[in-house]
Amino acid sequence: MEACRIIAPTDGFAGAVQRVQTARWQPTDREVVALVQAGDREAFGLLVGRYQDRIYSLAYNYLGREDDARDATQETFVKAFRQIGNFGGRSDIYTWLYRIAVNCCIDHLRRAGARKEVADAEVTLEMHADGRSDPETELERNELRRRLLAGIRGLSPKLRMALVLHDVEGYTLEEAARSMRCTLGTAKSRLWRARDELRRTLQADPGYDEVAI
Amino acid sequence: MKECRRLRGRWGRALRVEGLDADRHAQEHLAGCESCRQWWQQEREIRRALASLGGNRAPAGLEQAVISRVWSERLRTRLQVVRLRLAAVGTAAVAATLAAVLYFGGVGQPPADNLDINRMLQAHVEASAGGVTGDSGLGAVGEVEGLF
Repeated sequence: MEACRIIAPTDGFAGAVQRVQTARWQPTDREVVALVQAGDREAFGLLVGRYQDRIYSLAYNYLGREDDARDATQETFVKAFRQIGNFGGRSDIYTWLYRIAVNCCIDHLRRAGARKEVADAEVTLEMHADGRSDPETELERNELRRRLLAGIRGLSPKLRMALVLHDVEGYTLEEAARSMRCTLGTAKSRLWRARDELRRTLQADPGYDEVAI
Repeated sequence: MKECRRLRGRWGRALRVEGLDADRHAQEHLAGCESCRQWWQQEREIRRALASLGGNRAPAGLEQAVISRVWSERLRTRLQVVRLRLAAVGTAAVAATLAAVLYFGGVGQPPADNLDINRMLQAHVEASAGGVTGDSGLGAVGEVEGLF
């Protein structure tokens, strides 16, 4: 009797939460999407919880400002919620979400084009310390990260996206290509050009020692 | 020199730096070329630094903000739909009222043109009646009817 009550299909999200708590059942992304599409709007919170860090990180490294990254993350999920009824499940939900995030970031960058000069002057960096290196090495690394962030800002939107997706966020080249809606060859070419331009920017930086041939 | 340029181009395009450790040709070159060794060290450092920029965590409260915004957008969309429906119903009601006023208002008070037509019709009837009896007026018609 008790079991029947728990697995009753009409118990909605509250029932789903109870199932998770009692049977340690973790709904897959597809199950969550099915719940949202069936009108269980609160299940959408599960998707937000699962993917907000990766989407925020992508937006932060692409846009370079915390408030812009917050806005872009919110826009991504609002758009996703609006369009989730059209999601047919041909791709994984995360690929679909990253594609929306990539578009939101590029749109955001275009809209914020006028503020570019201000943004360039505001390269801020959270200090990283792994606790294994000495403070001097950590300082040098943080300085390099600061230069890299500034260098990334100087790249064109498409090259910047390729570099951020692959070299910064660690996506595979296939995932990056799918997120940017381009072929594998194009993604590879954008990545190489982005690295070349970044290297050139670093070389032009007086504080950076480039090894010449 | 040319070999250094070629190899640096190839290493720069490598998807993962770790792959180079297993490349025997690359390792042989690096062992004998101090400049390339330094270059490679820098490349490795850049890649490592780039990778360390990733994996930021969303700030506290973002999840709640996202969900609130999703609900408010949804509410706004619904309100917009309701407003559009009300506007459509209102427009239809106004149109129906206008049509009713035009239709029913027109029966009680015929337009001036109709009055002229009535007068013309009456004059025509009178003229026709006068022609038959050699008289004019409705009385003559009554006299004709009295003969039957």
